[in-house]
Amino acid sequence: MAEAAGRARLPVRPWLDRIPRPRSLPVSLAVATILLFAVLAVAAPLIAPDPNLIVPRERLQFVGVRHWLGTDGLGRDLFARIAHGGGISLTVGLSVAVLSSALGLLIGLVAGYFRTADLVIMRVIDAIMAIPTLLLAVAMTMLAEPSVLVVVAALVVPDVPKVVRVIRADVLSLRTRTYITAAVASGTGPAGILAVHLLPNLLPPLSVQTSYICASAILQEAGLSFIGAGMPAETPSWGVIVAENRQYFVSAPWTILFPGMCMAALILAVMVLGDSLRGRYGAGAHAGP
Amino acid sequence: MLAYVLIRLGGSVIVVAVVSLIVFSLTVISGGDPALIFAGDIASAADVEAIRLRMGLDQPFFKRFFGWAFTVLHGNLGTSLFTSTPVSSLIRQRLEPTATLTVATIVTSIVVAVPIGIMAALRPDSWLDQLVVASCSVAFAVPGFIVGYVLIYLFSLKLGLLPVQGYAPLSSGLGNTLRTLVLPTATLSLVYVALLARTTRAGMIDVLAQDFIRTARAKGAGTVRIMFRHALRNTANAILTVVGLGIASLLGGVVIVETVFGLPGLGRLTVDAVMNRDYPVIQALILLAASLKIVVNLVIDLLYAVVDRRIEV
Amino acid sequence: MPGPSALVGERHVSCRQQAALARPMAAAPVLSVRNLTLAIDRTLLTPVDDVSFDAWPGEILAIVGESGCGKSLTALATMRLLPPPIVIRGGAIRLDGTDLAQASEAELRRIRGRSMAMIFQDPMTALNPVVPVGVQMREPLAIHTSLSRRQTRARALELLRQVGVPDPERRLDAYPHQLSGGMRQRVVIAMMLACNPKVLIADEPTTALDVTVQAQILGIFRDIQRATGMALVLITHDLGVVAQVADRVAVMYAGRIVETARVQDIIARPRHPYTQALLRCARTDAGPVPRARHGMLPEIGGSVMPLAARGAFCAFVDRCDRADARCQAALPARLEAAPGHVVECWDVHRP
Repeated sequence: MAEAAGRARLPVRPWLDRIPRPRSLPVSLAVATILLFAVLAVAAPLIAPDPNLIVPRERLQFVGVRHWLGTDGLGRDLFARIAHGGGISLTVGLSVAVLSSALGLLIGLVAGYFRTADLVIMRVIDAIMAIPTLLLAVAMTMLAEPSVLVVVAALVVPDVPKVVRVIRADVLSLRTRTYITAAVASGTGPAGILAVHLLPNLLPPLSVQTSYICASAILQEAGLSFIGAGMPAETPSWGVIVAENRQYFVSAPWTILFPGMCMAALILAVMVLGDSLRGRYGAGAHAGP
Repeated sequence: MLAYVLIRLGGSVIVVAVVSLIVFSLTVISGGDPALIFAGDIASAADVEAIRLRMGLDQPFFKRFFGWAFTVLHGNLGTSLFTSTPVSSLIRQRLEPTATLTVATIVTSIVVAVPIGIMAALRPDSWLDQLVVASCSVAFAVPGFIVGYVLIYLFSLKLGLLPVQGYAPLSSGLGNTLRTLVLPTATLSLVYVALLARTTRAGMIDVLAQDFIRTARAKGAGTVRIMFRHALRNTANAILTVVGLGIASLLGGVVIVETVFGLPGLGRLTVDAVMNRDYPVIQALILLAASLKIVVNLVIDLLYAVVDRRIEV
Repeated sequence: MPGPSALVGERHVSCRQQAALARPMAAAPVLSVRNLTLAIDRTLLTPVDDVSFDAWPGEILAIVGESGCGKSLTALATMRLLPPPIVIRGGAIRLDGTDLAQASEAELRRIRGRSMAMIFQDPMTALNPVVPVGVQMREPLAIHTSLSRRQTRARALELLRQVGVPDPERRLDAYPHQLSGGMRQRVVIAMMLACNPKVLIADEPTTALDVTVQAQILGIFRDIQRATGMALVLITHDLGVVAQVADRVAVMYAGRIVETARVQDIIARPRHPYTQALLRCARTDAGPVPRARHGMLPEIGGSVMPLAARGAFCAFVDRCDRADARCQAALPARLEAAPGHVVECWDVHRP
């Protein structure tokens, strides 16, 4: 077969070839930024001082040799705290993105396929979307003791509707495609149709949504932690860092600006990735008529 | 027209009902004793028992839900756990700053964003256009509190032009109120403006490529006439949609901005309630926010039908 | 009588000849396009090359050609409504002496809709969907005149009656989606005629409409012309339309005008190989469809030469059964084969 197609080389590690390569500067920068924060988060325990070590003598220092990004109001090293905070942001962002995508995919499929379920599901979706994300998340985090799990769960609920809407709309339109009818007519079972026809068409728009949700989750977590409804007060989440240092804003603005710049950089990087995915796949790009 | 309005109204009522169901379920999960919450601290045990009976707390879930809904519809939004005052009065006290901030933000955003979007659409791929698109992306990424603090640093601390924090109520004069609202509005508008500008631009580019624009040019119409009499009317739809969609995130942003700028509004109320685990307040605020968004979207749906006569009513 | 006269009833021709004799001869063409060349900006590709034609008052000039020959672009160019990246690379477009190719945007805005008007192909998308039809019809008057609202409304009603729209008062307040395709096209025609332009350019005005509506629309054109002496440039790919209404024809192929003549002359004696082939394909004698080889419909083999392949030679060379070395070597020179009958073909130069 391969000879007949005239291919000279055998594919080696085909999955590596299928990872899309960044084609432009912004995307490369975005990927680099995300990797930077990830690496820092992992390496922080090795290269940075203890983020929780309180050294009152060295409080509110600016950038220096001993403390690369300075110290906060309690003398804690900001570089260490920010590096750990990056890990928290990435963890929360990715978890929320993956979980809400998975749930959203499931619910969206059900809604797209079953008319009666659809009616009920969409009303619930509309209702959840009517509540501002922050408020809903706040209400949910208040139900339990603050922790990463609680924050993730609280952010998944408001984001699932976004995924459901996209998936449902796509499923509804895909159902009428000729190749689905053909598949059913030739005896393919629902699982087969799902795996072979639907999922490959749903994954591109889903991946776009996933990246946007990741960016949004990082943003929301920062907001939640800022108002005290997110991560526990001891964890060096970026939002917590900003909240802790609000009072020093005038005397030591870098305590707020450094975590702020990191937030902006990471969120922007994830959004640029999302934009490039959308550009590559097109909003709702599907194979075939 | 009437049928259209009724259908949208009916849909909205259903959504509000589901929201209340969600809120009520959260109450149940939160484990507080609703009777105690409604009765307040100063009620005697007998009063609490009476309320419990009245609310039907020994009844199955849905009966309790309807009982609760009934109470809410009568204006009783519960009692704050922390301050023991009725939630409705708490809300009333804190309403003005939030209301003025929200209105100012929406107005400012539309006034700033639409011209920017139009200008970018008229010169696609120019440096202005690319700047607009890039700025919008950045605006989405920067968290609100960072923007707030930066603005305070620049305008209040360095330049001394505007107050750092605080709110001057309308009763002290519109000018004073506006002075205290400038920076918060700017902060809150950033994301909204980015959203609206991007939508206006995209919508305009679409419309300007349509045949009827060419027809208008063939009649001798100039850019101004084409913009206002032809292009904008066809973009209004998309712009309205985004205004409606953005309301939810606007209300979320209010919480952050009021915290940063020390405005004594509903956002701060939210934060206080979080600190004090004051659940009834949070619930009431959720109901309020959701209802507001639903009402706004209903109004927008009605405006659709006015602007775009193709919607067969 | 055999031959292409089946396209044009004998009686019909003599009616038009009589009408032509009765009309006073105009001194000069109202629209004169000379050596118009359109190019894709920043490239050497020219979808329209060295095109010249005249539109005389009271006359219908048909520009005929297949899809992609550049006739629509030519039409858009005369109104300076070219979509980027198409630009005018050379030539003149003279309207009553003013060269529109050099005119400023302000001057053009004064001319569009007033001295010169254009009707486009698709009536379904030509009108603004969210503005009432009456408002759109009165727009040229609002732009170019200082008539009052009542006056413009009256004029709009009058125009609607002229184009044969029943119940005009109700139509004025209607929205475009409430009207059928034929109705919309009439509205567009009425709209463009509001200021009594001297020349109307109609780009495939009936292509998107039913055949019955087509005949009505063409009738409207003839009536308006008879009443106002307006010049009409009719762009079409339909030879039937040409035979029905045109006075003169310009045949366009691959961006060039290959033959221009009075319609009777071109039908009786087409000289360019392309025109001849077109007429062969279009012929339907009173009897059954003529049988060419193997009982199949006649056709022109091959397809239009792509833009990038064109150059200083006859673009029809790969499909012409009379082509020779000369045709490949240079662009054919223009020759007046008979009075008022201009052809671009080396074969015609042969004695």
